[in-house]
Formats: sequence, structure tokens, C-alpha cells
Amino acid sequence: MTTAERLYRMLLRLYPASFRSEYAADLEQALRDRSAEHRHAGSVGRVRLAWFVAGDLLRSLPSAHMQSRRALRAAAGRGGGPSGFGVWAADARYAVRGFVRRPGFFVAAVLTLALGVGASTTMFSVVDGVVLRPLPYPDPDRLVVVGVRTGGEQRLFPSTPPDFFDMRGATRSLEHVAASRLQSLTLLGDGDPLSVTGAGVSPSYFDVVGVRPMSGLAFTEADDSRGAEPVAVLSWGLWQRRFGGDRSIVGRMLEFDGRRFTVVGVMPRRFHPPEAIYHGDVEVWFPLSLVSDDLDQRESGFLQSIGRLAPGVTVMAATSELERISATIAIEHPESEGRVWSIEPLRERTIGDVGTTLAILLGAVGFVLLIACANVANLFLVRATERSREMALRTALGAKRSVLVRLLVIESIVLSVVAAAVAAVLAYGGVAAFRATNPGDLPRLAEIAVDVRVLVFALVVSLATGLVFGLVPALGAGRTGQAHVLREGAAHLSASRAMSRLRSGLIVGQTAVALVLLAGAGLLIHSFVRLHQVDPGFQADGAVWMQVRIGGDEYPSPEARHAFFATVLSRIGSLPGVEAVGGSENMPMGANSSVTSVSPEGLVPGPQEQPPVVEFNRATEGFFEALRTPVLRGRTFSASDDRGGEPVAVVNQALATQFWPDRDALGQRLKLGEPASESPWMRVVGVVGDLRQRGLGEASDPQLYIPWRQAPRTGVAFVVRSRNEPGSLLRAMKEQVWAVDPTLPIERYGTLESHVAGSIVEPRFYTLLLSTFAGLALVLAFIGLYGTIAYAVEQRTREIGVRVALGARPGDVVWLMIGRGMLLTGIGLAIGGVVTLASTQVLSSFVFGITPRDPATLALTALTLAAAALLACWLPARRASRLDPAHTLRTD
Amino acid sequence: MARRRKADEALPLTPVVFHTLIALASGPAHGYAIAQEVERETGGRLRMGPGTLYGSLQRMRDEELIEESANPGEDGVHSERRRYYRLTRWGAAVLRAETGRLRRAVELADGRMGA
Repeated sequence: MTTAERLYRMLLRLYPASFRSEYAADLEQALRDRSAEHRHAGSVGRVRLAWFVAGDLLRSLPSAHMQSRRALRAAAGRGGGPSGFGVWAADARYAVRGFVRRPGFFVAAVLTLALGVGASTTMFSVVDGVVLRPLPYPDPDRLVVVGVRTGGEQRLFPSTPPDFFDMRGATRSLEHVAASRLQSLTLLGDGDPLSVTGAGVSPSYFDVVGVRPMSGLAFTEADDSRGAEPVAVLSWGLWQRRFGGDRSIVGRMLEFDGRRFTVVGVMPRRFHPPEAIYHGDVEVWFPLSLVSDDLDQRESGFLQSIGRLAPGVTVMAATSELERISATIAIEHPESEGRVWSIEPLRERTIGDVGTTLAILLGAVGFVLLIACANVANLFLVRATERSREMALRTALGAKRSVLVRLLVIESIVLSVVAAAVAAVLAYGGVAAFRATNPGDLPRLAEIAVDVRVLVFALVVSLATGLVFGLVPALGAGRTGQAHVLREGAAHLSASRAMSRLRSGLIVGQTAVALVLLAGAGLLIHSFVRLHQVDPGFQADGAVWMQVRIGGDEYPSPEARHAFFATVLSRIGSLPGVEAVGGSENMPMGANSSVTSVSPEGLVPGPQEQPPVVEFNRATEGFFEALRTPVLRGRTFSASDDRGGEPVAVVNQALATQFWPDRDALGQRLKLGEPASESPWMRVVGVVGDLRQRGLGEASDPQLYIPWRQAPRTGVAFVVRSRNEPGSLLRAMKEQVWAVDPTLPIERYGTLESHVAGSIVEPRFYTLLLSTFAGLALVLAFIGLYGTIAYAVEQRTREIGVRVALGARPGDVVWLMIGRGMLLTGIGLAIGGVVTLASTQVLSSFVFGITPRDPATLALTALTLAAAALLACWLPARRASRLDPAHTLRTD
Repeated sequence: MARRRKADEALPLTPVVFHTLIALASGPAHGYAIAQEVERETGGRLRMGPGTLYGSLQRMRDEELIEESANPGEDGVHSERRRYYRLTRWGAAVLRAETGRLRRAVELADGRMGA
């Protein structure tokens, strides 16, 4: 069959079934005949034929449908009743009419179901995009991360280049293996200097990932040799962002870090570099040897490798082959002893431990869905009870049970499909919101999307819940004796004892589930509040920061670096409105922090003992003043603490207490490294308050600061305190930097407040997400309980009327109605409490400053839920107490 | 039921129905042959695509103007898979009535225009 014929066969589905079953084969035959005639007409003739057939299809469709409807009606008129699809269509129309007549039930059920399914669908699309979907490469299961293990550590470390080349030459179980080395570069020309992440890769990189540039070429072995013409492949994103998708980019010269490279290719849009899956993004690739001149040393390892398993080779087999290869390498090169090559499936490395987080969130959203299901079941139960008279009547009049079941099935399907459609809309919004609030640590965020799989998920979940939770209770209700139902007056229909027990069970269950969710959210919220109250050790408001890095090649000497930053520092300091300015090598709560071993004078370590390790930073004068970190003793750095001055240090409170618990830290001396090392003794000139270097959630360790001017490096994060508006201040600061060196990229800057907030963006995200689910759960549980009590009030109107007539006070009536609801709530809270205590342990890595069983939080959560339950019962109960007995007794 | 009606009541016919009836007047034919014949009769002005053809054949069959017939065995290799149609007596009567109506109309028009 040709493609055209397959397409035509698909289009034939547009015709009514009766017409299709009769004529489909003839229609296809006619098309074949026609195309046989047009065989020699060339492509113009074929297009003309397609046009003709399409027009014919459109012209004949309406009349075919009219015809089939006429035939159906005629058949029905003859008394046979519609058959096949017609019956279902008729039932569906009946169901829709029923829903339109009583929109309350329909809207409540659809919204409840849609909320539950929409939330689960959103989470499913996240989990699907991040975890379930295969990695976006051909044969992704054959991709592995390759690295060396040392000293029995589980982690894979980067390797030295010679080790890599030896391994690559020897392996047979890896079909291709490529090394890559990430580095940050500055792209010059065509606008502001732009800092990009580049990767030097060996040419087989493109064979490993199985993706080639969409235009241009991949690297060849010749490109990767010393003295070759410098070439580069751009990412689709960089090509679009910087060059507006200019088609003539291939062949152009670009300047990276002052070197000129010829662009030889652009990667396709859908290519996600495997490095980027767990590191940010890579925007340009170079041949490895072009950007590395240290490929022959076997001392330090910096090459990340990925490989593609040969077909049919297992991870196990490859691992043992690599172990043998490592042993061989170590015999020839003793310095490689102890480095064992190993692999890890790329998939495992990519997804890592977000699996746990997502499992918790998926579990939470499953709970929301369960509560929604309980509500839908409750709604259907009420409806079934109300309709038991209708059903009994139909049965008495001769309707077969199968017909009634079919009607109920159709009703459930109609409801589920509508709910699924609403849920899909909610999921679109949810996924967009999820991607917009990018939590920062999720890999493959770009791959999260609502697609066909996700929509199918929504439909299946919706149909399953609709059918199970809608149909089962309805069927149970249908089984109650018809005679009994018909005898009773309509207003006195009371649910059978079994149904009432079922409904009570649903309330207890959803209360328990809601408590577990609320407790989880409560714990995270409490942690988050704690996190927010942490004193960062500096004053975040009223200050901005800006990271400036210079190239080591342009500023090779310490003097040149010192001159550059000293000039920038004084230029920024002279901007109007600046109260204090300073800088440090590592921004507090930034991505980088350094540690160093340090030896205080007089400390004699034991024979096997290592000197203590502390956090280490280089700071300029004005740094602590700009941060407003309290100076507890002595002084901070000044401009005269430079290379000509005495080596000095400032320490934080934690270091002072650890090293000199019983002495004044001022005037003490310490040095970097071991006591016997060459580095000079530094005198402590000041003690400052503890500063959270690695984030609000991380403890303040001992910190050592040395004057930046005594050891200038290539990067400084400036902190500026000023009353001026941050935006214009930052612009003015940029101009000052560019006045000194117009080629520097400046991309990392902002207010100090948003910088601090950035360090807790992840806990905030998960707190927000879990709180949203818990909020949904609370609302749904509230609606469920409210509905149940309201229905009970309606059912017992007569009884209440009698009680009031006999002298019961309104308060008594209210408590009568509330009592039952609160009893159910109490049982639910007890069960939920036990489950909560047993399960909140899974949150232990997410809580901060409290235990996962924090009694105050759990008690408050239970109280919140109880209060909501009380309100849900009280609203309908109050209505009951206001019933006029004369009226209620008359209504029958 | 329909056969007891007078053939005049089924008139006028649509061009597709009329030409299909004419095509079948010379004997049974399969669907695509009908379409080809109609195209030839009308000098290519009436081209029926598969949908139009079988839609109209179905309607004509429902109105009992045509019926399926046995394969007359005169066609090529695929002939046994094709469905053949022929005029019913009612179909023939309607065709005759339509032809008569048109003939009268033509005579009337000719007379008025002085041909």
C-alpha cells in the first residue's frame, strides 16, 4: 500500500460507520483505479488528483452523514430500536441532558475530578520528562559516563589525558568514547562581550551521542591535532541568541578569548549535550587539543568522558573489561596506579537523586487524587440514592439491568472525558508554571511538556477514577430492592445502611490522607520559616553585587590583576551615593567556596593528624563594611594591606573559638598548609561575625580571610552599599568596569537580597509545591465533609422538624449534626496521625531546624484540619437549626 | 412501497443520478466504470470522485433506483472483487420519466425559440 492510500484509508474514517463498512473497499479501489490512470501524469498530475480527491471527500461527507442519520431514524421508526453505536450515542445524549438539567452534580464532580487529575497530570509530565522518558539520543541505553574511581570511592572522577588515551586505545566494549573538558570563554564582537560555556571534546564526541551538526560538519581527527586550523561547532541556542539564526554562520570566524575560530557546524535544536544535563548548558564545542596544552601530563585529572557501549555489551562486561585495562595501564605507568576506569549509565547519572524528590511529590499528588476520588464517589453515591427511585421504576417497567448499567457507564464516561479535558487545561497551566519557577536543580527541565503521553495519562486516570468511583457505588445502590424503594415516599428515601457506612468510610479515609499531606506541607513550611529567620551574618537589603572576571592570559601577572581591580574598586567607590564598596574572591552564598588547611602557631599535630580545614576567602578593604558584617575585635583590611605589607588575616568568630578558645585571637599567628610549609605566618588583625558562606541552610564553619591585595586573583565579586536605586547603580558600575576594560563579560550581578533568596530557591520551590497540593487536599476534604453533612441534614429534615417541634433548642440540633461529622473527622485524624508519624521520615532531608516529627507542627496541622472540618459541619448544621418545624413537617 | 408511487414524483433528478441511470441503461457496470462512463457522456464536465460516486450509489440503492447485480464476468482480472450495479425496474421507469420530461422541455423551448 502506498502512503497516499494509507492516508486515504485514514481519512475514510470521517465517513459514517454504516457507509464505511459498506463501501470502504470500493472507495479505495476507485482511488487505485484513478491513480492508475494518472500514473504517467507526473507530479503535477498527482497533485491535481490529490486536490480532486480531497474536494470529493469534503463534498460527499455531509450528504453521507445525513444519509446515515436518515437511515438510523428510519430503522428506529420501524421499532427495532437503534443498535450499535447509535445506542451509545443516544445514551450519551441522555446523559448530557441529565447533566444539563442538574448542573450542580455535574459541575461539582467534574471540577473535583479535574483538580485531582490536573494536579497528577502536571506532576506526571514532570516525572515523565525528567525520569521516564528515554534520554534524547539514539540508543540512549548504550550511553555511559566513563571515569576513574580512586581509593574505593563510589564517585567517578575525571581522568588524566594520557590515561584516557590509553583506555580509549584498549577498550573493545565501548564502541566510541569521547573526552570533554568544560571551560568558560568570552565571545567577543557582535555586541557586548558574552561569557559562554564551551567544551573541548575529542572528535568521537559526535559518534558517542549519535547526533551530528544539522548544518556543517562534525570535527575530524585532523581538526584535533596540534597546529590544526581552530574550528568550533555552535549550539542551536547560541546561534539563535547571538547570530539570529544567520544561515551563513558556517565558515565565519568568531573570536573566543582572543583566539579566532572558524565555525564549521551548528548542532540541531533538540540536541541536549549530555554534559549539560547535569551541569548547565554547553554552547560551543572545540576540538580538545585546540584548547588544551596539557594533554601529556599524568598527574591531574580533568577530562570528563562519555562512551557508547558496543552493541550487546552489558555494563557489567564493560566494567570488568575496563578494570583489566586499568591494571594494564598501571603496570606501564606506575603513576596511574590506583585509578580504576569504570562506567555508570548516563541515565542514572542524569537523574541521580531527584528521583526521590519526585517520588515524594508524585506520592503527594496521588494523595490529592485519592481525596478527589473519595469526593467523586461520595457525589455519585448521593446521586445514586436520589435516583434509586428512577432506577426502580425503570426496572419495574421492564428495563433490563444491562441497559441501566450501560446508562451509568455512559454517564461516567461523559463526566470523565469532560473532566479530563479540564484537567488537561489545568496541566498545561501547571507545567508552564512549573517550568517558569525553575527550581534550579531539576535536570532535563526543557524536556518537560504536556504531550500526547501526558494527555493519554490524564484521560486514562480520569476514566479509571470516573468508572471505578462513579460506577461501583452507583451499582451498589442499584441493587437495593426495588419494591422497597418504590413503596417509600420520595422525600423519605434514606440511604441504605451499607451506603451510609461506605460514605462514612470515605470521609474517614480522606481526612486521614489530607492530614498526612498537610503534615508534610506543614513541616516544610515550618522549615522554610526557620530558614528565613537565619541570620546570614550580613545585612542583605540596600546593597548590590557584581561578579567581574578577567582572563588569565590578558592579565598574567599579579601586578596587572591588582592594578585592574584596584582601579575598578576606586572608580566604583567614587560613584555618587556609594556608602561602602568592597569585594571578595568568592561571593557569600555563591556557587563557589574554597577551603584550605591551616595551621595555627603553636599547634603540634599528631603524627597521622592533618591540619584543620577551614573556609577560605580573599577580601578587599571595605568588604565587611559593605556587607555590614559586625567587626567583633580589632580591624578589617585596609588598602595598605598589600604585597608590601605584613601578611595579615581576619577570622570569624567560629574560627577564633575553635583555635583559641581560652585566648584572645587578636595578634595570634597562623599559616596556610602544614606547620612546616613554606607559606608565611599571618597575624590575626580582626575577628568578624559568622557569615553564612554556602547558603542560609548551611552551618557557618570556621572562616579565614586574607587581604585580596596580598594575593590578587582573576575574579572579584564586588559588593556595594548605597541608597541609590539598584538598577541604575548596577548600570553605573558596569560602565566603570568597561571604562577600564571594554572586553569583559559582566553577566552575574543583582541585589544582595535576591542573591540571598537565590540560595533558598530550591526549598522554597518544594515548599510551595507541597503546600499547593496540601491546600488542594484541604479544600477537597472540606468540600467532601460539607457535602456529606449537608446531605445528611437534607435527609433528616423531617426528623429535625419533629425534634424542634418537641422542644429541642437550635443548639441541640446543631450539635446533633456536627457530632457525627466530627466523630468521623476524629477517627480520620487518629488514623492519619499514625500514618503521618510513620511516614514523615521520608522528609528528613528536606526539613531544616526541626525534626520530621516536630510535635508543634503536627499538632497545629491536626488542629487546622479539625477546624476546617468543624466549619464544614457547622455551615449545614446551622441551616438545620433554622428549619421551621411547621414547614418541614408539611413538606411530605 | 416506492414502486407504487408514480415515477414523475421522483423528478427532477440531480445530474449525478440522471447520468448514472443513463450509464446503467446499457447494462450492469461496476462503480468506477460508471464514473468513467458518466465522465465520457458529459464530456468531462461531471467528474465523480470516490466519495461522491459511492455516496450517490448508496442513496440510489436506498431509493431502489439501482440494485447490486452478479458479476457479468466480462471484466478484467479484478472483476470478481468489484461490485456491479444495474437498473431496477423502478430505476428504468424513473429514467424514462426524466427523459420524457426533459424531451418535453426541450421541445417546448425549441418551439418558443423558433428552432
